[in-house]
Amino acid sequence: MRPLVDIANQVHILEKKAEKDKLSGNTYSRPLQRIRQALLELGISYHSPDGEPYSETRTDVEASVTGDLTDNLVITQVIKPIVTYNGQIIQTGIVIVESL
Amino acid sequence: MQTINFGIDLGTTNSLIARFTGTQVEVFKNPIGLKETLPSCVAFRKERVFVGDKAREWLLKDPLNVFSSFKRKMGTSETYHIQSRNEDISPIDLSALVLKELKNFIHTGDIPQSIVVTIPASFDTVQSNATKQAGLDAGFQEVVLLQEPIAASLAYFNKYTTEKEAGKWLVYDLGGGTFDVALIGIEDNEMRVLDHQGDNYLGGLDFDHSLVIDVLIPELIRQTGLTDLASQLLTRNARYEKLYYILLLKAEEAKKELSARLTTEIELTIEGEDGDEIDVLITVGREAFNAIICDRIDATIKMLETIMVRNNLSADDITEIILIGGSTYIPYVRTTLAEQTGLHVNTEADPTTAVAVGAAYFAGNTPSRQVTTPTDQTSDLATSLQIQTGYSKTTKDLEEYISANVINFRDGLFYRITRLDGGFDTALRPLTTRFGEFVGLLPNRINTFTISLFDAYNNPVPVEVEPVSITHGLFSLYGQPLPEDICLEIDDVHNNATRCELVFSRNSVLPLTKTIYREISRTIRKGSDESLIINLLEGDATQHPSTNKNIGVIEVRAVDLPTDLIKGSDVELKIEMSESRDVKVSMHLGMTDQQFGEVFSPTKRYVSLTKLRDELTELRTQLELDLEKALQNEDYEAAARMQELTDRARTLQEQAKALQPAALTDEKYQLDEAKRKLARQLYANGPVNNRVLRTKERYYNLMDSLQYWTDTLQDFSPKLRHDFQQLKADEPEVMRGNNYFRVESHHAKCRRIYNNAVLYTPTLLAHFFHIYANQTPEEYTDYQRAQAEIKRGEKALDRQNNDELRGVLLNLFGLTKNSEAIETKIRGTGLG
Repeated sequence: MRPLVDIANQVHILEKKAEKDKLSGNTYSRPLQRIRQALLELGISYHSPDGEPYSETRTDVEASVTGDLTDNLVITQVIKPIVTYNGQIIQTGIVIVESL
Repeated sequence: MQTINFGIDLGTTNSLIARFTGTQVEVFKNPIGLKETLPSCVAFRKERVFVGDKAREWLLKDPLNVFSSFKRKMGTSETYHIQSRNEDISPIDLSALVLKELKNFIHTGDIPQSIVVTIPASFDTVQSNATKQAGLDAGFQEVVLLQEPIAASLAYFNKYTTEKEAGKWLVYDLGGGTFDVALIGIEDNEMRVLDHQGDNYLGGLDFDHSLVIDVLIPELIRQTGLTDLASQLLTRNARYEKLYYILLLKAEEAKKELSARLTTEIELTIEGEDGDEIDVLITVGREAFNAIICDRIDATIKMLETIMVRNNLSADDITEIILIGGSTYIPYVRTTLAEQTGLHVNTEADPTTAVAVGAAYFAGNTPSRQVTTPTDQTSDLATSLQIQTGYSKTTKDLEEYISANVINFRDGLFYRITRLDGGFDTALRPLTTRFGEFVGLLPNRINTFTISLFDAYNNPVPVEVEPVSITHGLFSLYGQPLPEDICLEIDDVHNNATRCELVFSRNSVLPLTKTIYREISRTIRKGSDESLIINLLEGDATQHPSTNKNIGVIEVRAVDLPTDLIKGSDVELKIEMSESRDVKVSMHLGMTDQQFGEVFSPTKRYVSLTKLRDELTELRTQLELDLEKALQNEDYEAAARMQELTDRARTLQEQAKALQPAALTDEKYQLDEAKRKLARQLYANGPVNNRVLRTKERYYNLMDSLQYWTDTLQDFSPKLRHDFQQLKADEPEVMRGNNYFRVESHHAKCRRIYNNAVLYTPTLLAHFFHIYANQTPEEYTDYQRAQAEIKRGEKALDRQNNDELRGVLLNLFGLTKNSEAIETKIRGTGLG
């Protein structure tokens, strides 16, 4: 299972880079989407919780909390995505959380 | 004899729990996140108590309410002040919370009453008693202590040697935050810690920090010119505080990668002084990493040497060094230890789990005075207690409130709500007569939550609470499930026909999206009169496409192609069905990089005249074949029915041929409806059985060969045997029904196994090569090429090169006239 999780992590990195560099969809996002689909057929899916609200009851991520402590915490950076196998979390996301 | 069986490594940084099962040890995983380790960290956040990863998140941000490394204070009178509660807590209480949390890892339902807990070799009597007390406070009736180096030794020796009868060895334990080295020996048949040395502030976390300070920050300053970066990183609420956490996480990753590779790269994007984003790439080599940890590793080796000197030992007196603790994965640690001590470094066991595994081995051989009880036999504590829940079953929000009433409430209990996928956990909260929680939901799916009750020792209380299921976003305004399958028509090349590929199954709830990857089934030449047809159907996916209704067609004509569309090139289809059942089809052709798309409304019918004509031709051909077969069998009743249907097909065919593509009448739709009726009569009734029978006949012929090969060939692989047996097991059910498509699908599986058997069984490979080599020139399309292949095959056979022979056989098959005939006959959609 570990190699599949590694593939999911790397595809997530490539997706973020493609998005950041504004690379055209036809060039990069299509093959990446296909890898995502192939992983899905093996039961593996991943999710990047960028911009989602964070609370301490969320056990799908491990957070590094920066800034002042408030109730309005938001995930501002995803180092590793949440990876699930047949719906069960097998890798918790590694994220940076900030109060906005 | 009842034995203890359960062992806990109660570590300074991380803790683990394992169980001896009679033959081996199982290290339990946290049901949340599935990690074996639980950080020994406790956080008090409002009324919630978090233990483990969630607690560690707040360690730096909320140090007055979060506590770790309390193992170092065991046996002292020191307490920790919880600011948010204005109360004190002892290291024993904190350790007990960790031990209680570890009980949640036990997925077998057992509630151990006895436990083995490991302690450092350096623990004195008071510290040992404090650990024992923590175990008792966690609800264990019996706590047996075991020194960590002994536990680690047991893990190594029980796994890799049958008996360790004598001698001395060293246990080198370099964990996340602490270092210990112990000298172990067997004296009077007893394994003992003879000496030990350690440093409570040396471990992997220090390495991560050094990597950030000594390597990453200087390199970042060099690349970005941000001269005050260091102070901005390390000051709370300063501009680059967030970057420090990112660097720490990246450093930990890099450290792990450097255990397997010589270099690693760290990529970052940081904001420059003027607000621009600066991309930074830092390459870190293993040498650079070694340079920053070498002083610390030298210090550990000095401690090891101190023990040797103190005990008048030379390298010859020590059999080996056993490594434990996650930081001993670092290659520099292993090689330096071996080089500087001259001793054999044993790395056979998993250094992260060795102590827990050893504790479980010991527990498995230690008699217990208590009985381990499964949950369903536990106390009558809550027999009358009931929980009634209230919540909204469907929602569009990503958070929903669950309220609960407790009937026959009992004081001193706790509840915990967790989501089934492991992504939500309220942590333990005191049970009150009424309670409520906002729970986080995953979008567009059914979220299932479990409400569990626990006693003061975190033992589960057997109260049955119905799981809470909250559906997010799935149900539309109409709340309608699909009445029929939605499928795609694709070519069935082998049978020279088309078949349905399921896209969305009946009763799926709208909206739905699916991406399908297929290949072009035959080459479509640019400018020819051929076309690629994407035909979306509604009906029964197990039936023939012509019996189903068209709900959308995209036709790509060859004249619109910039180049040939080669067989085998990729087609990506994204099919979306909205709540109001609009169907959006987007198609991308990989070869030509063309994008096509269309939205089909449920209120319109889509019929392609080209497709309709093709289908009618196929129907008529099929009917004529069945008619011929019926006449051969002298089944005149069936022949009469076939004749009638054939005549009908001919009439429809002529009408379709006469119809103008741009005709404004609805004749096209009437013809399509008539065609579907005809197809149903063909595929759903008697004469079609001829096709089923023919397929069954072909299937049984292949099975006979496979059975013979299984019985007689020594080199028939176990995998093929297994696949064959599986096929045989499924056969009765498939053959009982007369569904042509099920029979054909089973036959296709059989054919795949047959082909693999021919290609991957050396005896058969040689046998079939000889058959092809002896074919007459007339049987090949290009005999000259075939001869060249046969010569190559003979050489491959001499050299016993099966890979090459396999290639030759496939090429020869491709050159036979039969295979070409199959390819040229195929028509259909062009989608395979």
